[in-house]
Amino acid sequence: MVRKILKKLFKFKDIEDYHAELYPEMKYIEDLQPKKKYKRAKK
Amino acid sequence: MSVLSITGQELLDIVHKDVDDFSLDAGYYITDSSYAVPELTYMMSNVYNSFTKWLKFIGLDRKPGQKQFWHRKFDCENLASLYKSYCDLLHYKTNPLSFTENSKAKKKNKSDSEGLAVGTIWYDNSKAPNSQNLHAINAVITQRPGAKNLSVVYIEPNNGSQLTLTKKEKESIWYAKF
Repeated sequence: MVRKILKKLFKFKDIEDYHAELYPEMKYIEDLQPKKKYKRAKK
Repeated sequence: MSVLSITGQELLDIVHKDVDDFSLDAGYYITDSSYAVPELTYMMSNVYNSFTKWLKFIGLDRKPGQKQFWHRKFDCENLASLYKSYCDLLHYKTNPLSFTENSKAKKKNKSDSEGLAVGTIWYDNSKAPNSQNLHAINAVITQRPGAKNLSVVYIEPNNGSQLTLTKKEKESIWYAKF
């Protein structure tokens, strides 16, 4: 609760806030090829 | 939809295709079995902006002028290696779950590729004949906007710009590590 107030009043930042800024989530090219479905071999 | 992943051999084929007449003496090192392919526009904008913030965070201040992140004891090859490591770190932090955790957890990794298709290359960028000016930059295997196939995009980690290497410069690459 105290952290929340500090954050709001003094723009106090947690280490997680810095991490979110410093390490953004990576974005990738998507594989547009349909996934091959596994088919059980007929006996 | 899953994330595009290429094998080390496929990555090497793309690099060799880009460098028409690559030197047989050159060392191309592929250290992971599979590579996730990053999105170019995101790499050039968000990732580079965060990289500069991270450099400040680890104590590498920006200087005015062209060589803004270079120092006498921390120059082009150090910066290129750091950029690659930073991108690898983002790949890890985006996909932190181990194989077992990923199969059990509700939240899944975006990508299960071992590495990220970002590498460092060393080459000669001298313009005058009979001179040598060795330089290190980064190479990203990605899909250019509107293109179907994957290709190599060269990035200058000092300012985040995209570079176009001449045939001579590409042929001068003597070391590449992905």
